[in-house]
Amino acid sequence: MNNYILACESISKSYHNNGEKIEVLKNISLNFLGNKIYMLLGASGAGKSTLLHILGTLDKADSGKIFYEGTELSSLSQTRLNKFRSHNIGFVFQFHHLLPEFTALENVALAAMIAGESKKISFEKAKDILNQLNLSHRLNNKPAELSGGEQQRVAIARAIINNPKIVFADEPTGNLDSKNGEIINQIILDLKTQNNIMFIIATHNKELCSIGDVNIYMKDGVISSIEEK
Amino acid sequence: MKVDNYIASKYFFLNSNGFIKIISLISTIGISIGVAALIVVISVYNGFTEHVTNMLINIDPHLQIRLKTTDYDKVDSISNFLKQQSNVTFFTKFYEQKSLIFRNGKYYVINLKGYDTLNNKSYKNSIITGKINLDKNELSIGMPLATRLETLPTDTVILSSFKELGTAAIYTFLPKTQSFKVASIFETHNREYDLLNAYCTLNTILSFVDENSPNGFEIWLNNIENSQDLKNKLYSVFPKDIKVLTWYDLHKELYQMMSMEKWAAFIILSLIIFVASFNILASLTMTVLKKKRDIAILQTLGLDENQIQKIFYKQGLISGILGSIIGTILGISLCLLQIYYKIYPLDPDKFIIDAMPIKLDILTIFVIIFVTLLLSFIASIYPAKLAYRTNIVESIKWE
Repeated sequence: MNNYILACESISKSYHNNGEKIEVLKNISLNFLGNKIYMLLGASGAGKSTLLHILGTLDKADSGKIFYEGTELSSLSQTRLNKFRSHNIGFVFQFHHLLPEFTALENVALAAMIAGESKKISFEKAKDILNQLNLSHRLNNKPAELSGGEQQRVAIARAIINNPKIVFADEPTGNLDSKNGEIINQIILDLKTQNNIMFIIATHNKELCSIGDVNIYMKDGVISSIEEK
Repeated sequence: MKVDNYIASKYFFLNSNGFIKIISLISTIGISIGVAALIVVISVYNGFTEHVTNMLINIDPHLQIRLKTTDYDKVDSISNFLKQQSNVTFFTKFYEQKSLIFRNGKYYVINLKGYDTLNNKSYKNSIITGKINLDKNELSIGMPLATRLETLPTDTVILSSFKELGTAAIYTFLPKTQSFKVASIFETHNREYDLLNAYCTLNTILSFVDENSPNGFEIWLNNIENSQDLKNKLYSVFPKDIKVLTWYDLHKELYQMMSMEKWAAFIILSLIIFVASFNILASLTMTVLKKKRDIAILQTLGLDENQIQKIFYKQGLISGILGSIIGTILGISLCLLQIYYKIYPLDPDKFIIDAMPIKLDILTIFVIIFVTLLLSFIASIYPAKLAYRTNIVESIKWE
């Protein structure tokens, strides 16, 4: 178990809808090694996003355990879990979810400030990352003034500013055209090799699948197959 | 800069929702008006209280001792005790008696006061005609009484003591009456006081009422704030023989009524701030509901429940602080304009002062600001609690 960055053991999750119990995840166990891109694939309702949220500590499983570098995360208090998330995990969502009142630079710097960096250092780091992602001309633009691709690149910058070991992405190219989708794919590949970041991506996008090292197929809340390239 | 301060100020000043921005602005304006109104009204109350207090202190002693004994040795020992007190600037023995004053077929009830020494500053300053130092069987009367009796200095008036009236009615003999010469006329600007009081020497009144010893002492101090201390001291030295009244005790009901009116005005005007706080509650609740997704994103970035709550507490406080600053500046400016330029004058024919009195009191201003900030904070508790209960997964699912 200690060789893995992230592992989950017997994860189950269910929801209740009008008195009816819907089992979204059924006894899922997975291990994730560093410096790889994992693709969670499956039809809508297969449980990809729920698994992604549970692995990313945004949601709690009904039963099962999650280990990060050997530490069981469910044993941590909510405050320590928030701190852990801030320092070790990044998130990229389909709808970028940038804060509209803040500029691109502020959106990125905010993540570093939440992690405890000073305002000055946070802004310097945010500037560097946005420059790396070719957004130096958009630093002071608010999200509404950016294109979809630019917004998603800002969201990626925000996810990686604290040098996380894992980035979770839920349909990161789902809202983008193919050209912007390719740019995002390339960024993910670069970050994997240059920054040594592990990506766990839930997607339908076939082009995005092509960059994955491991494809995990899900069906009706269970892992149907795992394909390593 | 703390991250919650940074986010709170951004949300307050750059809220992307125009409607919430307007409600937020209205609440800040409401608080400003409330704070300014409170400062002005309470300063007017303070001004009136100070004016009335000064007026009464100019006439009344700072402390009055009423003797429960006629033992002259006790009177002497009290007198010696007062001489030893360093903060006592002046004291005098006195005797007072309700009497009837007659002249030209007119008669009025007065309070005749005889003093051992009649040279305190306030008395001297109030004499408008006649001599200051009174001789035996000489009187000093107030201007309105002199007008009613149509008398001037050197005229003669007749006094009848109330001390004899009760006995006279039962045994059907005439009460003691005596002629007095009006030696001077005083005016203290307190019409009721001028109408009801007349002065003479202690010896004059004692022989008029056939008594040997005074019925009290009147004392003036170098600092009025020391009256309670001296009162306590007197009670500890002469526990059974005296009753001591401070300047406050002499008009306790009046001071209490003025204080009660001031606090009633404070509570009523605080309602303006209370209503404005409801606007804070409304605008913050709307912000939380509109920003559920943003709050969830901040949580995914690692912001904890405490920090999320602080963002909204601080937005409420920013509104309160801004409102307090603007309101305080406005309120103090209006007060200063009244103090220096008398923007609200009073008719000098009807009032003894030419403009609405104002007294700016720093402590009162701090109390007003504290109440404002407290109400702003209370108004932000519900939205802050609502914010931290945001479900992350539900809130980030959709655009």
